[in-house]
Amino acid sequence: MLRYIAHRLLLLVPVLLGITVGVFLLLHLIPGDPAVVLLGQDANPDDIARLRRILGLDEPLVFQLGRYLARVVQGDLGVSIFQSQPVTTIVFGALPATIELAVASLVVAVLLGVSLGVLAAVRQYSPYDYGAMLVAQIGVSMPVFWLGILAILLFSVHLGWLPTFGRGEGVLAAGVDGITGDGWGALGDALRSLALPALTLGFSAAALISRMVRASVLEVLGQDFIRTARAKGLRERTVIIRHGLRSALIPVVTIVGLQFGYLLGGAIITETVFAWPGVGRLMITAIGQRDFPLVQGAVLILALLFSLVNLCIDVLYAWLNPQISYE
Amino acid sequence: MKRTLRRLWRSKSAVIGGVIVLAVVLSAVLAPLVTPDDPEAMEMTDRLEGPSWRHPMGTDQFGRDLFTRVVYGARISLSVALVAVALSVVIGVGLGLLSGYYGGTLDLLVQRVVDIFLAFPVLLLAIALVAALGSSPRNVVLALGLVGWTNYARVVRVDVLALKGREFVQSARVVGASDLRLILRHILPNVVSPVLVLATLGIGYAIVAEAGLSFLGLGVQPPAPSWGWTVAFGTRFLRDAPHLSIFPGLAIMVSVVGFNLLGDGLRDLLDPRSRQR
Repeated sequence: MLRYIAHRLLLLVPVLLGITVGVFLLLHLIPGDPAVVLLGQDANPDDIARLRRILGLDEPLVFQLGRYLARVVQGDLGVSIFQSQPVTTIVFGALPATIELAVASLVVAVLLGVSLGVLAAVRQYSPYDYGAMLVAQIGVSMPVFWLGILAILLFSVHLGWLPTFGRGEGVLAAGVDGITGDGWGALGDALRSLALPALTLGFSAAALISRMVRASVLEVLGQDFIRTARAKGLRERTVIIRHGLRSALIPVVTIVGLQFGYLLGGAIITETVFAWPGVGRLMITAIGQRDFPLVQGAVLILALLFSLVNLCIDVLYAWLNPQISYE
Repeated sequence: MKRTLRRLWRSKSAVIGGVIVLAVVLSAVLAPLVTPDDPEAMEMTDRLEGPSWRHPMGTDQFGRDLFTRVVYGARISLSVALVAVALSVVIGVGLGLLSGYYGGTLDLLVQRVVDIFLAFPVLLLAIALVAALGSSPRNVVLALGLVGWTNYARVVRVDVLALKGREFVQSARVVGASDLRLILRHILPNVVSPVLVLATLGIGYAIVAEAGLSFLGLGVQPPAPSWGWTVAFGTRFLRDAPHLSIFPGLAIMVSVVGFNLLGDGLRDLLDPRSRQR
């Protein structure tokens, strides 16, 4: 197992290098002189020259790439043009909000997706099955921003139950406040702000998970050990929960891992819909301001996070599934 | 061919999906016949009206007929999605064929590039590309096409690895067929089915992704009646004119449902291994 993890970590090195080079090339994809594009056609030549120097654009490309890689390895992603602060400070400041949203959405997605999938499989070809799969089909086809807007319309505008925009204190910090005796009001507010974005993003991911779970449970339920369990006279409930689900949910781990990437991508849009102050919204604002060091940094950090989560999921999968070979 | 069509006709999801896709495609192509209005024509006295007989989906903030804009919007969504998927198919199938057939260093290189692409959440990469290239329909197509090819490459490569050891390929080689002929005449026709399924599902995804980019202000720019942008702009009038965001979003969902159902039906038909029970 340790060898497998070491092997996977080694494989991660070229991927991380590729990601960093890819993100570096982003700035160089800009047609024409990036400094002119950033400052506008009418900019003063001195300003353009100064920005070219700040961005290191006056050096040969290979040299720029070498310098960029060296800086990234040291954790230096440059300085935001617009906010004049280190990119890492800004991105890491927004990261907790994104992680909070992604994790909460993942919880929603897994709870909803697994329940719908199991229900559909256990009651195959019943109205429950058709209903669950209809919900799943709609879920995968709905753009997440539109679902968010519908949720705002219903729960905020019409019913007035939940706030429309923004995030107060983080859920974790608010929870700590509650435990240390500062009252639970902040936690309630934090959860209320989190509810709509997390439900919106989680619902889309739940749709895919439910289809996978349904297929996986159906496959397992047809196998010999399930027939044996039934033949032993176990209750149907025990057969499904103790025997069926345990094996059926192993492949689901992988799809849940892949969903995390989808959630990170979806989070960019969801954060924009709900004015959620995470990395996604930060990135979109930075794109609007043409603050490319910040865009590069945000993309790089999100991609690194995604690769690490994928690695953890693969290791978890290998650990859960005794059939997989570590080679 | 006749048998395949007959079986396709029996698949409920393929028929429903096919009908939806046909309706969306026809209304995009025949837009001027579907609605008499001009998508750009403003009527300030009619602004922000709710749905009525005259305006089935209401009007927007400039008094333009929303139904007309949604119908013309289908042209943008479909053309961007189709061309983007075609680009992904060409890149992905090409690289998949070459890396599967030749193996060795080329295969290793392609696999590492695939790994790097897979290390980015797809939408994140598309957003980053459009941000760098600038927002225009051409760049949206390019971004979506460039981020979407990995699936095709992986699927085709695995199929080619299995196919190249098969007897019919071996015997064609013995008879003296060139590599190019083997790949194009003997291997390619056998990987068309999975590619067709992936591409159909891919169009649905591309429609959502294009709408997402336009929603963020990075896609097709106004005054073109892009669905994503119309939904985004509608949020400014959410309290008084929710129809502005609801109808274009509904159009996106219905089109995507169509392509997904058609893709699922095709998969059941062409690839019995992955059939959903």
